[in-house]
Amino acid sequence: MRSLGLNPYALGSIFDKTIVLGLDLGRRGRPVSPEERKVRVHSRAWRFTVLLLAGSVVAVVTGCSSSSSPATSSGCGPSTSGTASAGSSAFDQTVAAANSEGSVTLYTPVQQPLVDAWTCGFEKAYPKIKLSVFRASPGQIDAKLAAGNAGPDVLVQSLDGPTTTLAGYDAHGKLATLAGPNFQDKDFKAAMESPDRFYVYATVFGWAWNTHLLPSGIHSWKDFLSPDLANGKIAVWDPSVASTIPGFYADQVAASGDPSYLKNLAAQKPVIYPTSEAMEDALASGEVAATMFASKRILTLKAQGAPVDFAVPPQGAAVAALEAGVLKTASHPAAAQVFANWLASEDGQKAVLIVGTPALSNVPGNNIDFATLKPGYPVTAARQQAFVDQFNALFHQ
Amino acid sequence: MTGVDIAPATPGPASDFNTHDQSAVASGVARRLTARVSVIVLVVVLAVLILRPLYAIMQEAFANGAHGFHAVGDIPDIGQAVQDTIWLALGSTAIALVLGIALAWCALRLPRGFGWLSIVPVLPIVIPAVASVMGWVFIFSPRIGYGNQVLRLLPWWSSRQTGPVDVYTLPWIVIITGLGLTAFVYLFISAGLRSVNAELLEAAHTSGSSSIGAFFRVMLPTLRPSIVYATAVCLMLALGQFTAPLLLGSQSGLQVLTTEMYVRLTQAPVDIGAAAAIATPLTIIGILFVIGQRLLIGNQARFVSHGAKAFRPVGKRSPWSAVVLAIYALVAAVLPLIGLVLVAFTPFWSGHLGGLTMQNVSDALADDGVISGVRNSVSFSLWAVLITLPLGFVIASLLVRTRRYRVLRTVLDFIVALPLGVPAVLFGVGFLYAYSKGPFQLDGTSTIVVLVYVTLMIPFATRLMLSGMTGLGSAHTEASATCGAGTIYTSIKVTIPMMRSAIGGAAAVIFILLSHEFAASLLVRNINTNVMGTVLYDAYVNGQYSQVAVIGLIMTVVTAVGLAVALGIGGRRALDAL
Repeated sequence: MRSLGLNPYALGSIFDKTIVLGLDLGRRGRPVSPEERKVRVHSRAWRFTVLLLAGSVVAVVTGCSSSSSPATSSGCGPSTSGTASAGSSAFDQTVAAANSEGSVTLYTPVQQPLVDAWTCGFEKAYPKIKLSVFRASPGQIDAKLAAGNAGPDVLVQSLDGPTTTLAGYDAHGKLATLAGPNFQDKDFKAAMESPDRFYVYATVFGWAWNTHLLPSGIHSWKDFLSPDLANGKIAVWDPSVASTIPGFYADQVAASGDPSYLKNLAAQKPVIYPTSEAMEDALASGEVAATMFASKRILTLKAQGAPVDFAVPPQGAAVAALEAGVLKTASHPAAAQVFANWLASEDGQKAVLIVGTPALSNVPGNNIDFATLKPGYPVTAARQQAFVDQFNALFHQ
Repeated sequence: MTGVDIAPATPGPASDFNTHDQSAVASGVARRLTARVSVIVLVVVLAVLILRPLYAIMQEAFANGAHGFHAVGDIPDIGQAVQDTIWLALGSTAIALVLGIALAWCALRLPRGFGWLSIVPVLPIVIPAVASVMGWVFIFSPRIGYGNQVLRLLPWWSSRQTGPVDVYTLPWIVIITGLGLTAFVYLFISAGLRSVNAELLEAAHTSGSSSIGAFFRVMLPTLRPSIVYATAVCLMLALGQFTAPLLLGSQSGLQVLTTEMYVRLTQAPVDIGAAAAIATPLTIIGILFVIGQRLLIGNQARFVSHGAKAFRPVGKRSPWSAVVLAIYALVAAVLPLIGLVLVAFTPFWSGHLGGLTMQNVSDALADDGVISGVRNSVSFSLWAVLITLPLGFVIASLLVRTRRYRVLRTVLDFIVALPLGVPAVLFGVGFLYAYSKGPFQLDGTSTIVVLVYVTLMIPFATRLMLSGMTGLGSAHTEASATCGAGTIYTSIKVTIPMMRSAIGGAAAVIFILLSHEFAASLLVRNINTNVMGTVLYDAYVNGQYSQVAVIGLIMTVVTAVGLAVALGIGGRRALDAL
């Protein structure tokens, strides 16, 4: 071992031993000048620092464990329904089995705030079961299911995707019979479509506008054709993402009383969005001035101070209803039953209030009777494609 | 003692010599056979990895009597999509060529102390495309974009309520794509310029030519192979552009071929055949490009102008070069980052600069989906690096150091170059088809994501290793062989240690490119395999602009760390081998 002071390169030798990646090509044999030693030490010190920094970042990032509960939920209050309904020993066994399974996967197009609220609420009620959510448009979920993807345990899907609606799954015997005690609740009877599937909630889509850009607001369908809303001030929904949307446009044409309504709307050069959330956020930010596809979530944004307002069309609003079912191919069948049962509980239904109307009667805070809402039904694939082609021809600039 | 046979001290009869020689020959034959079989296995594995997804696309397109092609013909606006794709390819290539050549010329004439500016034109490669595009949205969204609001302060635009820039239109998609492709042109032209000797230009000046005349009559013809190669690469990349058209074109219904393909795959009713039919011409063009690339380059020796005297680089130093590069950096790299920062640190994107807040950042960092996206990006990228680097090393060794297996090496060279010519989104589609059914069902797993990443990066790893090996020369490996060391021993004890810097730089560069991969990831991702780019896209689709901005900044920071490592290990020229 060389000692410091006798060999000008000794410092470098010791430094080499501390570096995981040896960056010197082994010139220890010959003496080096102080200038060269300074350059080498500086170069190696810089490289070592960079590697240490990079390694620290990688270690921190890959070592980060995921949060135990998401912080972005907006509806995760105290649980009122408890971990299971009392007096159901069979369901207690299901809950025990679900705890062993440890996780449940949900495929759904519902809005992110509702996903956050469901995740927070369910995992609070059942801390041993992790809820994983794959969120995509109804069309994308259809695509995944049509490709034979065996991922989901539970589907909460809009009345959509003619080949993969829950009604279609039910008809082909692909749904498991619902086992939870909440499905026997008399307040939930109206929501049960069959022993294998149930309505979760309905979303009403109405008019919304940015009060800074359009102080006069929207009072009729014809207001959307005003010159004040020309050239990119209206947000419209891409009809290719869900087969219920063509029906919404058909309802608008009928409600406006103008057969050329769509053509006139296209002449306003509206902006096309893939989700109602995107339209609502664009409205709140002022990117657009009005839309006819805003959900109740716009009222949440209004309460947060966004310059927006909302109105339900007098001729009736577009309604999208969502059903749920447990797949027989579920990888976590017990956890799926427990989650479905929780969706039908008061906690699961209260969470829905931030975006829509719960299917359970008498939910505190709800003032719309679900039974009075008439949801839009999907059109056939051929009709949807025909409308999408018509829409693209009219609306694409 | 009698009757005892004693072996003679001198060499024995012919039978003993033949036995020794035969065993040596047999062992040599066995070694060569093993080596040949190993090479064949490698070629087959790479062929399956790279060609199977492309074959799956073609298979779907031609299934059921080529139903896919008929379905494409029925799409009403497919003609417009083709037209927009061609405009995008030609326009962005033209922009990239002009800017890239100008920047490369300026980089060679930087004044002393400003040499670090030569890395600036490469920055758009390392800024994630999906983050950069979102930055442009925040700056030039027609109504509330920060840049548009500043421009509307100018007197001639003050009466406007929107614009003057609308980032959601085709011209701006072309401009943004062109700015991104400029980096590739810059790299190719820079490498070419370093091969040009100033004596040629001096001879032209001496003969009475002006500077402009010398540039067009001497410099550009000498750069012809670099320009041709850069044009071909840019055209290929532009044809396969996915990120900018997807994010910017949806609002006005603008589609190009790659986004039409994505729509057919992800929206109901799903039409896999039509998507494959749209992908087929892009796949064929990519294959033809790779074949043509070899023919286009041809004999490069006639363009090398190193003379008998010492080589001197071209161009006199000029401070204006630094100004040009700084302006480009400001526009192409800094401006989108400013957009991301402004939206990330304001309560929500409204076009106004209200009170700054860290709430969006803390919300995003507490979001399970964001953290798992970052974690997945880093881990998938690291795994792909661990697999791709040794593969690239072995392939490069075969291509550079081996004289045998000429046919196998030619096939290997072609297969390895394919992912460079075929757009990444096609590999995403191909892997989805190839591995969602059949004996290897990998759909939704981490494995398929890593395999896609490995496939996309094999040509980069090979090129980077090739550059390193070529720079080493063959003296050391030949000396090792002369001393009796085998190929594997020589590689482990001589080549790899001498190439540590190149390998380290290659690892960092590949990590950079993978950490912000978006197009292929979007197609093969599932609930547990989201990466940063797909998490950002989901947030964008749902209008969560603040989260979009924060994720974009996180992606930029991760790739910036990778860039720092690449430069720290490989020096300023770390990215040149791209």
